[in-house]
Amino acid sequence: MTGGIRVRERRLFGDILFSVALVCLTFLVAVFLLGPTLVVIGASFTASEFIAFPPKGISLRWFKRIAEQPELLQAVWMSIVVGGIATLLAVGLGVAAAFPLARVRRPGITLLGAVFLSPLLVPTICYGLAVLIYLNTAGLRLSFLALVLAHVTIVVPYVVRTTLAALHMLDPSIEQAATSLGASNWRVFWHVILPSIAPAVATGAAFAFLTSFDNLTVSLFLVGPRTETLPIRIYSLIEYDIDPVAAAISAVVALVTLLVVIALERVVDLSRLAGS
Amino acid sequence: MAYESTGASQWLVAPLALFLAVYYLAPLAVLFSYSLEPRGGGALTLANFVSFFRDPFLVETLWVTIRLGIETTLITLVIAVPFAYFASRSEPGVRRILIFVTLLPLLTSTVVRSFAWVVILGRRGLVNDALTGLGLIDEPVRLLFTTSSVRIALVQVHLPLMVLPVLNALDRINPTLEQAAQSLGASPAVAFWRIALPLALPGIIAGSVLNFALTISAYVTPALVGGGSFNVLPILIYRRATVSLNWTLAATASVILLITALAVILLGQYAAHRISSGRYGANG
Repeated sequence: MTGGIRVRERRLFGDILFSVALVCLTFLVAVFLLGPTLVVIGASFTASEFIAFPPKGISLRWFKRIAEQPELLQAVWMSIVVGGIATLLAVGLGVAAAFPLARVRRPGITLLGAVFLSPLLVPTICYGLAVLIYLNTAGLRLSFLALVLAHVTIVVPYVVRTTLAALHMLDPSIEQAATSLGASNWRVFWHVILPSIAPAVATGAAFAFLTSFDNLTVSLFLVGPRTETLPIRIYSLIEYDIDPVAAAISAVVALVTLLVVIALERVVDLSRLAGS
Repeated sequence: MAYESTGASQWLVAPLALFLAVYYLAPLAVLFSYSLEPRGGGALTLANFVSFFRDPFLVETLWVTIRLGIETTLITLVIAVPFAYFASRSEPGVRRILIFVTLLPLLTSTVVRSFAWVVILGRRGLVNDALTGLGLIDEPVRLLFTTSSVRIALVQVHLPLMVLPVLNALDRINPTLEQAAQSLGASPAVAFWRIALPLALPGIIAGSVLNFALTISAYVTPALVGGGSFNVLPILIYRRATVSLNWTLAATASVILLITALAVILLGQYAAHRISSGRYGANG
């Protein structure tokens, strides 16, 4: 009897220990995930000449400095333009391709689906070098277009994947109902399919844009002096000696990303789309 | 279904297929042919690969890269699994916050997050400040530009991509299985270890291989946190391609990196598939 109670006490103690350990570990991992970004944001407010965290005094001087560096603003603009155009092209190509992938049962189409998603698996640094050598072999020079198209390749899988997932979840009977009531294929597409897959396409587009906006390794091989993107610019600001203005622009980027993620989170179940 | 009946819809794959053929597959083909062609031209051979594996420096670089990939993946796995388990078994509100916490860094620039580690681990960084402040050390120690610093930063940078697939796998497990185990006398820890973990194995494998592939192809984090003398395959590729303009060697190293990453991912997917289909087979 007493032995049984002791065993039960020990069991209870072990269960509590397990739960407490799990909670502590989860908390530590959350801090580990968020901490570094918070450190950069904090450090950007430093009043000192060098980067410091905790910041030495509080000032906005490094944010003012952003406006004084035209090449930094130029790089921000270039990243927005490259990411924007690449995302639009990826949405056009990717959404169109997702339809047959979801609906046509043919070995050839399945194989194409694997090819469309495969840029996710190819190390971006290998692809960047491949495009550089390819353009050179073809006698073409690096250009804005060459950079944008390379970004399309690396972001298109996100659009294809999310659109495909949404199409698979679509109930075919709704379309059948629309068709049997006399709607043309176009009407079915515009009024039935598109509204239901729009959140997924938007998520894919957001992932695509952020991936392009963040990309350094492909751009590294393909940017020229006039097509320098933001990651390349930030990288050169911190590669040898740290310019605190890099922290300020990083803080701005991190805050904008935060707003995008909050907006997205309201529209779709991010965990499902990001993990599949 | 409207689109299946027309048959014309399958041509909607054509624009993307054409684009990727010209601007993705063709460049990769050129990359491969560069790695097979002797420098200065000639018939295609494996000579570049032979000389790669004969050069002790290059082999050492490859080995450092693979070891870094294995170590970071294991560390990431150990901290991602409990986190994902807690997230998957907690109430919707908590779960939502934890997923948000996971996704935010994933979508924040890698350059920014690697930069953060330079700030944290630098001579005047947070850790050195704290240690000097506590009187544990007299002057700043070198934390940055070491293999450990690269390892920590890579774990942080790739952690979300381990958490998400594991979380997905844990979500798919029927919760009554663990409840049944516990009502039959298993402790929560045993239920986690003996029920949840084995059932989540396909997701764990998928996350691990993805993590490994991303780590061995990472350029930004090792270059910033590892400093000028740290060498892994992606850094070598970039330097040989742009500084010494040896495209043959850069292409050869790229092909080795690409094949390693693809082989590990495909093997992992095959293993995960075998495990889950084996289970379904056993269940009837």
